Formats: sequence, C-alpha cells, structure tokens
Amino acid sequence: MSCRRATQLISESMDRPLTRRERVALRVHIVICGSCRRYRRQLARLRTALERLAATSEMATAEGAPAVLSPEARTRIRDALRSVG
Amino acid sequence: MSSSPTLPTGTTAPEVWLETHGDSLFAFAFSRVGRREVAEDLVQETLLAGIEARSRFEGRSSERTWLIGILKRKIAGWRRRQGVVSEPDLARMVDEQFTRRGKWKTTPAAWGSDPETEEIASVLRRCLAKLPERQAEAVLMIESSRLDPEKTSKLLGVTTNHLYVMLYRARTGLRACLEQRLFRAKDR
Repeated sequence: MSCRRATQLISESMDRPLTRRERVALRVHIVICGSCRRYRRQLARLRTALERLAATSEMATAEGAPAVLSPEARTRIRDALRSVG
Repeated sequence: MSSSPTLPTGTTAPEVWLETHGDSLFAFAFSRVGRREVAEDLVQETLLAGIEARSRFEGRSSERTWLIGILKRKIAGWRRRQGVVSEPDLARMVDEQFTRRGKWKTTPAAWGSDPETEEIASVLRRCLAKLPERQAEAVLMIESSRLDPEKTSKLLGVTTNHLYVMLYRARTGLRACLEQRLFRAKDR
C-alpha cells in the first residue's frame, strides 16, 4: 500500500467504517510507516481544532470579540439598507 | 436554523433581516474569510442584494437559508477577487505531497504541543479561507457541525464517495497549512 492510499483510508476511516480488507492493509502499513502514523495523529488533532472552531466562532472571534456584528457595522449596514429601502 | 416562524413564506422587512439574520450571516462569513471587516462588508452586500432579489424569493427555503445562499455567492466573488481560486497549493495538496508512486515527498513534521485555542482557531480560519469553498463547506459540516456523511452529501449534492474525496483533500490541505503556519516554527 502506498502512503497516498494509506492517508486516504485514514481520512475515510473518520467518515465510514473501513472494510475488513482495508483495515488489515492499513494496519500493516501503519506499523511500518511513521509518517502515516503521524498523519493519523495530526488528523485527529485537526478534528479537535475544527470542533472547537465551531464553539469559538459562536462565542468569539480571534481578537476575543464576540462573533457578532459590531455595533458600528450594524449601524453602517442599517443606514445602507435604509438608503435603498 | 429556523427563522421567522410567523412568516413561513414571503419576506420580512429588511430591517428585520439585520436583526434576525445579521449575526448568523456574519458568523458564517467570518468562518469562511477569517477577517472581521471583510465579513461585515459581505453581510452588507448580501442584505442589499437580498433587497433587490426579494421578489424572486419563493419561500421554498427559509429566509435565512436563502440569504446564506446569496452570501455564499458573495464569498465566492470575494475569493475570486483575492485570487484565492488560483491558489492551487492547498486545493491540490494531495497531489503536491506525494510522488507519482504515492510516497511522501516531504514527510509530516513533528508537531509540538497545541498553541492556545484562539491561536489555532485564527490560523485555521485563514487556512479554511484558502481551501476551495466546497471543500471548506464539506469539512465544516462534518467536523464542526457534526452532520453525518449521508446528510452532508445530500446538502452538497454529491455522492458519499465524492464527499470522502473532498474531505480527504480538505483535511490534507488543512493539515499541511497548519503545519506550515503554526507548528513548523515550534519544531524541536
């Protein structure tokens, strides 16, 4: 199995159950390939980061402000809507 | 996601849109473009376009879904203007990272411990903004909103097999992007 195929199966294993044949082949590859083991660990960390992103984007932006329209933007948009409405 | 339960069809006044949908549209835009000023402008453009297109809203989807549809086109336009679409390195990371025979060209680097959640979130948003929009959408639906693959593939209008390919490409692109922007400097 190539690393490219192994990484594809690693990704797919997060979305669907692998077939028995795929599972065995992937396990054999992972045992001998440190790079693909690392890829698998990093995808798990990516998943956690993306899950947290959902939580943080509801609560706060990167600058720590809430992920809602700022009062200034709200006023600006309201004015723009009024001018055409 | 539900909106204006009293008005299942037809639209409400634009000023009500800003109150009922403004923050949702903003959060959606922000998750895609990663920059507050840009996201705010996109919300404004979306609402203005919504006013013009109001007569074409048929009430087949909720008002918010309809507005998000407009917002997505505005985001796509912004990305085109930024030249994001012509940035092939993340879109084709899978092809970039492996040799023709499927071996790693550059093996994944060791990642140190996680930086602060906010720092990861900020870099991740910038990386998401560099993915093709459909891939970003797919990976956010699956990993952030925790939709199941069947539902996600229906919403995106692709087969589940195609969705798996999109997710593989998105994860591989994001992994490489995080490594480059967040972890490389912190290597042992």
